[in-house]
Amino acid sequence: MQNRSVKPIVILFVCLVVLSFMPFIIDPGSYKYLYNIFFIVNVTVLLATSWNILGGFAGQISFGHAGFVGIGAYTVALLHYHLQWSPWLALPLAGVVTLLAAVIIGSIAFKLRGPYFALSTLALAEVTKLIAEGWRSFTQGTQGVVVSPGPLLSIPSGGALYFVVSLWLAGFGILCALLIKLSKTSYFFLAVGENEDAALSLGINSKKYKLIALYISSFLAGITGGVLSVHTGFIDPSSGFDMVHTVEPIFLTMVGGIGTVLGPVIGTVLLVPVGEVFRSHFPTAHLLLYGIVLVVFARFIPKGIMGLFRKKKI
Amino acid sequence: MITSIIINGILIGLIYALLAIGLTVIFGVMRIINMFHGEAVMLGMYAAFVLFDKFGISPYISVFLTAPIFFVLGSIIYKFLIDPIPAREREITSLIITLGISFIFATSAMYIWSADYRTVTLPFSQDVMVFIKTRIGYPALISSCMSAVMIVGFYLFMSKTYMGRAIRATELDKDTASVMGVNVKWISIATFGIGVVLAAMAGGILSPIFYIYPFVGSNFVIKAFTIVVLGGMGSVTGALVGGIILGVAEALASTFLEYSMKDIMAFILFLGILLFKPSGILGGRTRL
Amino acid sequence: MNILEIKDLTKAFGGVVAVSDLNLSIREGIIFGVVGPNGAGKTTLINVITGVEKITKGSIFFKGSDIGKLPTFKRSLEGITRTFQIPQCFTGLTVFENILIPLLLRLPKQEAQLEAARIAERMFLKDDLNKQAQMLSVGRLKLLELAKAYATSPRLLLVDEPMGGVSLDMMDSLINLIKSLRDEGITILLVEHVMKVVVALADELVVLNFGKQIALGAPQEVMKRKEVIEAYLGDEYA
Ligand SMILES: Nc1ncnc2c1ncn2[C@@H]1O[C@H](COP(=O)(O)OP(=O)(O)O)[C@@H](O)[C@H]1O
Ligand SMILES: [Mg+2]
Repeated sequence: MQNRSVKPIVILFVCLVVLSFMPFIIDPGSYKYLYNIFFIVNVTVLLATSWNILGGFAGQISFGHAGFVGIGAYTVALLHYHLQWSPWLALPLAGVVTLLAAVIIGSIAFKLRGPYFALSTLALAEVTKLIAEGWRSFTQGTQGVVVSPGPLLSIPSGGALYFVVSLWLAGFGILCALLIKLSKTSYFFLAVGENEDAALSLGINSKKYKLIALYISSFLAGITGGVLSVHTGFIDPSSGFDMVHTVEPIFLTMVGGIGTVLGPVIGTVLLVPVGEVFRSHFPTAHLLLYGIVLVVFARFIPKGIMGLFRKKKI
Repeated sequence: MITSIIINGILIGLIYALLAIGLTVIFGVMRIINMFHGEAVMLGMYAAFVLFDKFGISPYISVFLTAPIFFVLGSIIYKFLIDPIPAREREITSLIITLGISFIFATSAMYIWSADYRTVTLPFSQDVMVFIKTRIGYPALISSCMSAVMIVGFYLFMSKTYMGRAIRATELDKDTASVMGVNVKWISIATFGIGVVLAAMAGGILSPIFYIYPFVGSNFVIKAFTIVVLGGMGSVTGALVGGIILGVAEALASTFLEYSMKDIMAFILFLGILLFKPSGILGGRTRL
Repeated sequence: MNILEIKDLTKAFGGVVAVSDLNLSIREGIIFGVVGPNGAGKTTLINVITGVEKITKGSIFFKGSDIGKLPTFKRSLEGITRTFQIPQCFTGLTVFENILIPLLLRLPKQEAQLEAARIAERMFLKDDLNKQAQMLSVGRLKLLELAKAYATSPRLLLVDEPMGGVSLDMMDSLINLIKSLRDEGITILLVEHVMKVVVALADELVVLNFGKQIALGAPQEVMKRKEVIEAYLGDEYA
């Protein structure tokens, strides 16, 4: 029993350590484009995992991850801009501030059942974007905020640092998902997502579990936003609150396998590099591709790639 | 001054109401949130734009010409992509599928018409009339009146025709409706088609007074959701009341607060109503 | 000792009064039958006792304390659990997981797993243990409903029409099963359409019509009363 739950964590840890040596094997200085893709993959794994904890584990569909990412990104950018905080120090706070927004939205949206949660998260994403655009004295509006890397980031091969940091952040997200999956809590998440009436009648405090999922998810998404704004060095409302941050994690999780720990990872590792190449040749065409693949998977392969594997095993 | 703000608010509110009715009808009958509702509005706008640009057909006429196409589009999407989903997964899966469709439509529009802002400039676009000291643009006035006529028409359709009654019966109780001889499956397909038609018609009617661009739908979708929640999900009268409230609230906000507050009004109303009166202002008891 | 006391309970949906000024005392350890024609308010009574629906008027005492304001999940933790007339299972999960979930809330994981297997055996679900709940027939789903509810270790079990869709040969086993639950000390409120079942099982019986109590007493005796026969004949086409 004990062994079974320790094993996947050890495997995760070993993978992270081994991958951390990548910069010694492939030189980040000469493969900038490659490391850029690595970074995007890592960050997207974190975001997709975050969405999956809420949408896949607990069955609460979020259409507001763009809002969470934007809040996290602006937290880092504004702490840097107004108070000269190092972006790295501000990173945990990006998670915390996003979580606070989630506390507010959760207390409103989970009073009701049905589609209200999805709509409320969508409203949150739009409202925060409008605030970022409108509150010019604080956010500089559509002009955006520059996040200039501090001395820590001027290390010659910054690519390696970003790679390792984003790798371990992704690892942290996967660890969160894994710990949930291995605990009793995952069953209560499942129960709430499957049938809330039944869960309540059996003594499960459904609101509590929905909130736990939302809090973890929003924290991780906020961190994603924070690290994105450090990497880009610039944030404005349209990049921070880009709808893609909502659709991409849904899309990747659906393709990889919703509700599984590995699904979002597989989806991201397989598709984001393809998407990046596609994007550089046909700008915005990747959105069309996302839409088509999303519809096809949701309709015909709802369990995603992980589902195909599972069937063969049984 | 305040009367003129309110009159303008009511005029735009009527259009908003038409915008929301398609969404609320689909939700009422099938308990599905149609995430591509905004994109259906957008397609309606482009359809009106193209027919005006190429053939000089006024949007107020072309919305009737394109309606059958949108009906078929909506019905096909429902029949092949949503109806086959097992009932217990439908709530979540339909959200994701319709979200995917909204992306397909928005991105395709981007390819076909580019990201440029388009306008439909009618011969009387600059003309203004004055009514109780209120300056009202002709296109806005015509669009509002037409929305009002269509809302009344839809109301009559729902209360007087067999089809409308069958839709309402299905909305109240699927099992009973099907025992009474209503073909629930076909009614659902038709209702989805009708919902999409209403969205597209609202888009066409809006085209003379709004900029047209591929991602315009996301502006409307939140407004439509707000109205639906305000009026109570599934209620046509509620949508009318909700639309007018939103229109007036926006008009007041843009006058007395900063202009950018106008767009936030929808969210404030949305979250406020969820917080204080989730069944909608009419109490969720009205059908129709 | 009364485990449940219902005082002047009314539940109205707008104009429809589903339960009207009901007074009931349920002794601990008995099977308390609730019968009545369709729409009499039986399911609504269960919904109100479990907190799924808010009380319009009146109060409910469980083991002496007022539970009228507790949320559903807390009532279940206190020992009140119900089954649903239309089975509400976790359809995407296996039968084993369905039974396991309420146990995990109350026991360490390993004990919960052993107990789940034990309950499944007792509820005639052993062969279906690894089947997805959505694959089960209606009759089996009813058993799973009962198994899940039993897994919460209830003191008061509210059972809503457990025989609907159950095959005839299964019915006798189910009757014995419900009796054995009572003999374990669980108080059972049994809502049932099938007269034979109620008469065989109930220690005490209440008859509802249009939300009102029209008779209360020992089953054999109550079923003979004129007003009960009338209420049923008016509706008894099934
Ligand atoms: N959620 C509800 N909203 C409105 N009316 C309801 C609701 N639930 C039950 N009713 C009404 O209350 C009455 C009692 O229903 P119910 O308790 O289900 O009866 P039974 O279980 O005895 O067949 C019926 O007239 C029914 O239509
Ligand atoms: Mg009933």
